[in-house]
Amino acid sequence: MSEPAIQETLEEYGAMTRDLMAHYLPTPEADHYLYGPAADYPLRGGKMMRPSICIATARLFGASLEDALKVAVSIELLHNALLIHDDIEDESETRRGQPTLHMKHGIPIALNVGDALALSSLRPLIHVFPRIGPWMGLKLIEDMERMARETAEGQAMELAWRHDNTLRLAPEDYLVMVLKKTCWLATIFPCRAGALLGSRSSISEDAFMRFGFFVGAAFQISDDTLNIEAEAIYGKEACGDLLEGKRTLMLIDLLNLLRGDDLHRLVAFLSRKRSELAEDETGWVREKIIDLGCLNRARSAARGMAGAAQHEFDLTFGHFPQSRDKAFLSGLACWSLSRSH
Amino acid sequence: MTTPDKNGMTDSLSGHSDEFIRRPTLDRTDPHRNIFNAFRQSDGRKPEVFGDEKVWRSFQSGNAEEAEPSNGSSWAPGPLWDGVSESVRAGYDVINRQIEEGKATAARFASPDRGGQSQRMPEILERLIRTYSDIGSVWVELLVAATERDQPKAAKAPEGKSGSRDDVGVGVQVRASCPVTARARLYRPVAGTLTALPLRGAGPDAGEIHSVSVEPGYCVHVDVPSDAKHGTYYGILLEQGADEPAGSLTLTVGGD
Repeated sequence: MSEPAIQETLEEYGAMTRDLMAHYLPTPEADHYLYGPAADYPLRGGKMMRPSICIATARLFGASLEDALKVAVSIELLHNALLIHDDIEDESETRRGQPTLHMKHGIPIALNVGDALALSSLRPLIHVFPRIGPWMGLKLIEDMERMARETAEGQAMELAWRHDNTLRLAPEDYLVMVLKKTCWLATIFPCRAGALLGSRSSISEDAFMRFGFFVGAAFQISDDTLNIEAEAIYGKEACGDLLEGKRTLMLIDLLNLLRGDDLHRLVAFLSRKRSELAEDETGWVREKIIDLGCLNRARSAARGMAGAAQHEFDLTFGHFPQSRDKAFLSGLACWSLSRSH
Repeated sequence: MTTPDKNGMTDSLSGHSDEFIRRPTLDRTDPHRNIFNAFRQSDGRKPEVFGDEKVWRSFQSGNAEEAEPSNGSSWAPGPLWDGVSESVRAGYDVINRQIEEGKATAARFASPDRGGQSQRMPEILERLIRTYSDIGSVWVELLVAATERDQPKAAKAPEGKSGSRDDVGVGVQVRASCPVTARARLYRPVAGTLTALPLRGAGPDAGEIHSVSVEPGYCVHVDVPSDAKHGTYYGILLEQGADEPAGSLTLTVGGD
């Protein structure tokens, strides 16, 4: 499937998800402290990759669109909740081109809104239970609990690295963090939930993990490289990852490559708080990442992940008849490399 | 692009059929390894030595002057990996390890009595019984819904604007300056006009509450005076033209 066709599917499934999500979010005008801010991030748009993966997989496995949409809404609500909390933890200032929620309303309100959205994600699942039965409902909840646990563990890994200013990391450490923090919510759980809905039977514990991991890793590494490359077109702040001291593949690579004074300078950069960082210091780290080839190697790594995702796709989905949903899932990994935001 | 249909299964582009699809057995499920990987360690990994050892040691000791000079032999200069093949290898290592760990975690979280199929027999039987019980509940709900649909409209009292509503079909709306609990109950279906008698307290010196009325839609409205004594009050609901009480109203002022 071509990039525009992938985009078209994302927009179509994304619009359906947003329409239904509006039913689960009270009117934004309801108040300025909970439901107004709660509708803020969902209304800002976004790629809608997570719900689209869920819907496409569910349809491929024969589930009804109605059921798939409810689970997709649940995933998107939880994703938005975690974005609010992530922005607070990362001290991010912008999200999807606008100030982050805690910058607009303060941390206490933003935290409460995040909690409310996370709990709201249960409502669409409750609505789908009478249709799929208690046994399948339990399976879905079990998988969601695993996803939530893995996501929290991944976030804890990244927070710990920054808190302790951990410097000696291997690419494998980064990939474990990405698997937990990104892939479970972005790709693995949406695939598994869709397949559960459609197949109406238990799926193995490792089903969709390899495919989901490689798609998610290609997506995340690509996201990291965009953060270094992009200026204004990117929804988040340019070089925000460096300002936040995030241990991306490129930074881990750079920590290994630098010698002597340069390494001292980078370690000193990472040990400072965001508010203490001068703009030229961030620019210096960015230059080093580009000049020493870390950016290109990260791009190569993303391509490798996308290739592995394609291989795993053939193993997992190859036996299905051709359909638009199959083509969408097949093209996701390459799309994640070619996108500009 | 075709908009998906409601059932999500029958659009022409999806190509779905009623056949049960089975995954074929594949000749190979692993990628071909890069020949260059043969020159690495036995497990295919590069030595886990990162960066400038001299600088790292100075970070560990906290004093750069005390750091031993690096002879350059213990660390491998160059990037941690060289691109596509190595990233894929690392990716497979990570995901395979995580899958194994996930299985171990799942086993840890599973109920302790969960063993082989024979040990799970009681659990499976219990699930079977629960399933039949669920089906029974659904049938009962279905019958109740069908029965309610066939009942004459007069037997069903419309909803009140607010307040509590009992299971026979009368609502209660109370205005009070202190905590109050109220419950109204109809003994039988009511078709005519409903009226309410004043509420009386239970004790010998208990007071009465006179401002009780029944509004259209079978909603009993009670105004509790601010000086009403705490305690429980009772009243009767009457249907005009009938010889016996149609229901009762219980009101508790104060308390929990």
